[in-house]
Amino acid sequence: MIKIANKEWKTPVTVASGTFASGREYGEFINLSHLGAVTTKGVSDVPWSGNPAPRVAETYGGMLNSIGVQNVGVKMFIEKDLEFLQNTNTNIIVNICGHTIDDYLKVIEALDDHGGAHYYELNVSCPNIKEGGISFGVNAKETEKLTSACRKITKTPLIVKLSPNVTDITEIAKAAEEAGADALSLINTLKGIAIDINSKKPFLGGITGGLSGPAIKPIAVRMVYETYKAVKIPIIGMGGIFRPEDAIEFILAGASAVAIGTANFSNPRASIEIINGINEYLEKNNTDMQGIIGAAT
Amino acid sequence: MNIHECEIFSQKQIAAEIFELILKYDGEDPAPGQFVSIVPKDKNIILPRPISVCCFNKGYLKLVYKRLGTGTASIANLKPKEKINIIAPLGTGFRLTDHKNISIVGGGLGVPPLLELAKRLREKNTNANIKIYLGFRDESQVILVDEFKKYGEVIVTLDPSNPLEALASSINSNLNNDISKGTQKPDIIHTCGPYILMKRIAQYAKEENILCFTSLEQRMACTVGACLACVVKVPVSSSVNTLSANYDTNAPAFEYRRVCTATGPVFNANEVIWE
Repeated sequence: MIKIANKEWKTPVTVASGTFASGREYGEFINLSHLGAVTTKGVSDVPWSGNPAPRVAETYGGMLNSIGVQNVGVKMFIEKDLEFLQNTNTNIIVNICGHTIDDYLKVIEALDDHGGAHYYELNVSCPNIKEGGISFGVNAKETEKLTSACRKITKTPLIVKLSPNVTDITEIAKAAEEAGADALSLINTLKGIAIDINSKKPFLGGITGGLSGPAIKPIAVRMVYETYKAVKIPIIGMGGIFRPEDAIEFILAGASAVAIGTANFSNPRASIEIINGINEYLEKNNTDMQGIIGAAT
Repeated sequence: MNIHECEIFSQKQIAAEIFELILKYDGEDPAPGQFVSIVPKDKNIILPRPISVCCFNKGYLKLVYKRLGTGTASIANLKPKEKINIIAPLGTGFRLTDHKNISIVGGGLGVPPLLELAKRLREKNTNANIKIYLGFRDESQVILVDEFKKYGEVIVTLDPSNPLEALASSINSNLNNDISKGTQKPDIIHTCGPYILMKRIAQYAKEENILCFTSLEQRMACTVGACLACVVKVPVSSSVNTLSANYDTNAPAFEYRRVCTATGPVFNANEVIWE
């Protein structure tokens, strides 16, 4: 139906990293093979303990999270999850995070040694990591350095996940493209704070968190729209997609595929319902994905 | 766990801002201490609301909850015959052991999930000595006392001054008084309530070398084990949820474990880092 870096996707829908673990839990509610790809939670070279609780706060039209990429590290990920994912009969996108360039390279090497995945998504945009992470993604030079270092050591297609917490997202997008990224995913969450008026303190244990959900959708659509005009590589669009109409907006703005994140929490079957809704829209308009990608630009 | 469409059988207020919601439910039987997650009907609400199972009986699920914010307010507006989606059953509940001397300690909104536990422990062992200590802030908050009386001896503590510490102390001293009067020390304690109460009960159990299970609470997002939002600190070496009362005095390094699924919400109190 669509292709990203020469690999076919059955449907133009994946899930957003960090909302879906490695797919086991939501595999109880939906058939994972109906997704175009499963995107994993961030994997680092060694285990990360994550941020103190509370880690979530619901806000108007969205939620803040401050998980801090708690994960078991690449060794345990390979043992516990990689084989499960390789048997899901769909594309696998492993999201990779680190504090230094070397951290990212170690994860890629370990994964490549064990059969790897269809794509690696370089997380240069998580607002909940103290060092590394987002500091790569808010600077075009750093994004370029990290992407080209990863490009040199692997043939696996690279997706660079961009942060909205920047002045001009197209600068970062172009840097990633020039350094050899095969695709871009955007947007990650927007940095925010919620305050508990009773305790008079920030609500989250990590003080700041990443805002997701319908509240951020217009910002995300705008950033996809701008990025589509600035680069030639495909875009996976995300940010507050709760309904098929939301996904179609992203596609019309230039996304070749979309990712469902926070909506999985509201409705564990959201991704499948959105796939069905996109198909109905295409049929009704007597067109296909190629006919609508970027049509609004 | 699965998504179930449930019809509302009844809804009524049973205490100040506290509601009892009964759902028709044909899914897998929930174990005591497990919870369900109510999928929001109101599109302005983003996250599902986890609520413990108070009681389960032949296709009817009773949930008792407090109206606190917009999410629970929308649940309180549900009317009989309306339909909602719930994800159920979720989490790992209390252990139904063969112990003879059982203490159940509940405080405030921690009381409801202990009802199904008391019922199931009584069904499992008709001769067990089950003592149920329930603490409430004041008269307006008292819930479910008569129902607990069917399954054991109930001791109710009210503390109008409302410091949770005082509530924990009075329940603690009730436990101690009973023991000094010659009543046998409990073999096992099950507790659910405010953190400070559970912490005090866990300390008491540790001092007395009594096996203790505690149902913890934390803010959740997905409720199904995927997002890692609802964590508590446990020792790194912890096997979690063993049936052992071996207390190690060394303060170990911690890791974060989920409250929502395979590891929680019910933990061996000995395997939680209390802060």
